[in-house]
Amino acid sequence: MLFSSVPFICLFFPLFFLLYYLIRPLRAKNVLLLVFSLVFYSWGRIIYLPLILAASLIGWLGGLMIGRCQKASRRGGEIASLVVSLALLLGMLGVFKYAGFFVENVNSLTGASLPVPQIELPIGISFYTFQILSYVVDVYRREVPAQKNLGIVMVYLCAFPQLIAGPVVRYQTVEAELTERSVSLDDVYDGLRRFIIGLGKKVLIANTMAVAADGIFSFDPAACGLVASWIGALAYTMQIYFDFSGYSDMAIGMGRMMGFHYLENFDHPYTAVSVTDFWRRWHISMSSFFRDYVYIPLGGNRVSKPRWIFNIAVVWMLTGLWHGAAWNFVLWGVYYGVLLVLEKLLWGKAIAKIPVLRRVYTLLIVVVGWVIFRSESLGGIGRMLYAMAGGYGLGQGSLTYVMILERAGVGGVFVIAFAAAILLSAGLGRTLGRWVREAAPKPRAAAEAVGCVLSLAVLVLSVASIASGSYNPFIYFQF
Amino acid sequence: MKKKIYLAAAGVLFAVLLLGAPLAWAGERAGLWHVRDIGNEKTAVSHYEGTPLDGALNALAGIKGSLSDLYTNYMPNYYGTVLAWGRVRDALNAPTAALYRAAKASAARPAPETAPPDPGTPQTESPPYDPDRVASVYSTLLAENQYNRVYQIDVTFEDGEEASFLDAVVNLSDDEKAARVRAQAAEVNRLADANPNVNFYLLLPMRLQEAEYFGDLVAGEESTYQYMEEFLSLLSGNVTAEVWDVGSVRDRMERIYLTDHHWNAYGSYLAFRQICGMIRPEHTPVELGTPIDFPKSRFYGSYARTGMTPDLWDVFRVYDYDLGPYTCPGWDFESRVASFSAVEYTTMDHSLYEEFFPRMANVRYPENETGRNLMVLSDSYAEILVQLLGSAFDKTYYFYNNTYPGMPYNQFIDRYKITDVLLVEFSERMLFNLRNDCFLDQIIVK
Repeated sequence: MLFSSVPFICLFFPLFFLLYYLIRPLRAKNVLLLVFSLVFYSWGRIIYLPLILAASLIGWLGGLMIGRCQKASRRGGEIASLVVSLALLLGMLGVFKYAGFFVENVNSLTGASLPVPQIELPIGISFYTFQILSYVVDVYRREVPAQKNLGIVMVYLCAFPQLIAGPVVRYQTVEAELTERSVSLDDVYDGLRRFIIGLGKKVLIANTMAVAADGIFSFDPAACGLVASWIGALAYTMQIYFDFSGYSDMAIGMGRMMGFHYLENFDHPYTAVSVTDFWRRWHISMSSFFRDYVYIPLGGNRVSKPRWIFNIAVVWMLTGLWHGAAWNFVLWGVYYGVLLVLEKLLWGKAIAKIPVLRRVYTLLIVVVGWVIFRSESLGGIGRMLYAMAGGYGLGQGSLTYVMILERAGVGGVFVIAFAAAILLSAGLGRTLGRWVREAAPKPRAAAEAVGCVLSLAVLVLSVASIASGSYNPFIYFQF
Repeated sequence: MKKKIYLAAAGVLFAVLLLGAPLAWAGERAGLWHVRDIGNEKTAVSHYEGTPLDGALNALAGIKGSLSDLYTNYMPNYYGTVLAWGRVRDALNAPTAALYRAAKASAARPAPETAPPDPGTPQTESPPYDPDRVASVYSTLLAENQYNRVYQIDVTFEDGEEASFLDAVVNLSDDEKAARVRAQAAEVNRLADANPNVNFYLLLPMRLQEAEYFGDLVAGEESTYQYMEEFLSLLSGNVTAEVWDVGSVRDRMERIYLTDHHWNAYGSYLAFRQICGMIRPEHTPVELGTPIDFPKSRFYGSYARTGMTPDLWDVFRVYDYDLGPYTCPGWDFESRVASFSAVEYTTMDHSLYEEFFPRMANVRYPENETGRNLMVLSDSYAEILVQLLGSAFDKTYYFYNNTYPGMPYNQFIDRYKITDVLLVEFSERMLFNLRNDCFLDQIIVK
């Protein structure tokens, strides 16, 4: 189920929170959260429900075994429990996400004709696998105690706000709140406003950008030429940010409405002044996962230069692969790994001294990165970048770029949404928030009232947009 | 306090969303009110096979689909919301749409010069599309889904007349189109070759996209003419096939509803005459009847609903034909005209074409002694046609395409003493089986 769908907004969300606030004991609230989360997960493809249940069970058992071995000071058992748990969890991820990709590449490299497994990717598997991995490793590192109650582990892993699109919530972040939390009026108020902000970002901005990006990327880059290819790349740049950060906002907001305090996942990444800075601001929960569970265990940067470069390469290969089982994702990871190394070794300090250029430089790298990420083939990446460099002029063939833009829905609605996207990603909301906080009491109260009205307006507009998006008339009416 | 007011307002909105749909549905079931149905597709639900829990999984999938449909179609003021959202979108897009039009107009290619006719070359019939008659054309993409792209086409004729209509292209790759055409032709041949005792006819109602000139009308889109030609070339010798020609742009506007995929009453009359000429050339078809309009109502078609264009519609027209006595269960032309005259249909949640013409299962002209019984295999295209078509036969049996699955074809032919079989389907379905709902493959011929 998607947060921005009719069943979620009209049925799931209001019904869940109605029941959540009606029942009192925390244990009952957790049961309700777990039941609704399993329904939420099953809504897409119920046959993958056993997978997430298995992941919970493996993580819970692994944690218990490690905890017991730690108490009994059996180091070997501790390591064995960790290895078995990680192998099972990563094995599950490998089979369901990477098996097809792996066999395809073996076939093309060796000329073999092994049957390629046709496995539909279980929704959210990358997120919940990372979450349960972090739990098991944290227990092993003695950063958190093993949880004896399977139900609590399941609530942690399956909680619907962060189940399918993150953020990657670590167990230690919510450990205390899983068994003891309260919800104040401020929590509900702040949480709901945050949820509505996320909904608006996703529905009003990201979806509008998606129409244009999908439209333009579906055409041959040679036909798109300079103008359309740039508009497509920029639209996708905004789409992915507002889509992803909108989901994170909704997750954080709903968590808050239940008394959970998830960590921030984005911090205005398009205002970054370097590639390093960008990755401190983009998908923070994933970056910090790789930092804490891969990069630092490999030695981080406190090693020789070649080893450090190796560590960076491993982390960014994995980062790319985590996003998808395809070579363009691997290339995207390698692209950032190389740029981070070069930035650190060569031009980072020089760029940092030039105020405007450093932002333009970062943004250009990010946009090119998203083209790599979005393209469906390696050849497609090259052609799109060639088009953006002006290699095809204003476009070739019978379709002019004007027709392509029109076909891709680049119209007034797009222009308005794009302008809003620029202002919001540049930190307008943050600036206004700071201004309200620093203002005298009266303007602050007035600004907050305006904010409430705007929030409700965004909710109404988002619902209207979702309703309109659900309109899919049967062309053979009354068939 | 402000926080409480905010939460109360949001709570009311969510309560309306949560309770509005089931209440609207329950009220409709209880006969308290009617909720407008604007014809949404049913939510696609997963179907499970080969697991021990198939029954339970499919039941859950069905519940999920029903809940999605309930909360979508019964959402409070759904129709108004969708319509208003479409209007706002169009208003916001209007300035850029004007820019696109201007850009396309300035980039328009000059019309090719016509070479003087060679006196030694025999004169051939002029092409149906005469570019000189259309001074300018603009096409605007209104909507795209997995099946179609729907365009508004604005034309200005050389005499200064301006007109707008909606039409659609099939959203398939070239390879997919070619594959589907081959598969469809094979299915037609299978049927035509299944019974040597009947004559098998096919009338293919063209869409505008099958016109060779279509690429000139809608920039960036290609005609599907070649696929129609390929389909016809693949038909077996047992099939007598003709194309119902959409004609010129002006012809299209006269023969097909401006906002719908169906032929209109006039277009269907032309089809009737063509079918008579094909199957019973010795028969004199009835003359075009007296037109009856319903000026209080607006006919919005499938393309209008898809593209959300409330400002474009047809006046719904039918013809009163001078037909002899005939029987057709469930059909009474006069009472249908009377009931339609009494009501103003002005919203998009009606398809007057299909509401006026029911699916007439059989038509009998007892005074006819033609010795010919017709079996019509068709989709909604035949709804407007059957009672008229029946006048050229003793008995006419109409099988709607959703009744094909499992149909014992040869048994029907034997039981009803069918002499002629006529297949008429919308070219989008006949050529491409675009929505996989042609079902010819599910007719049993053994």
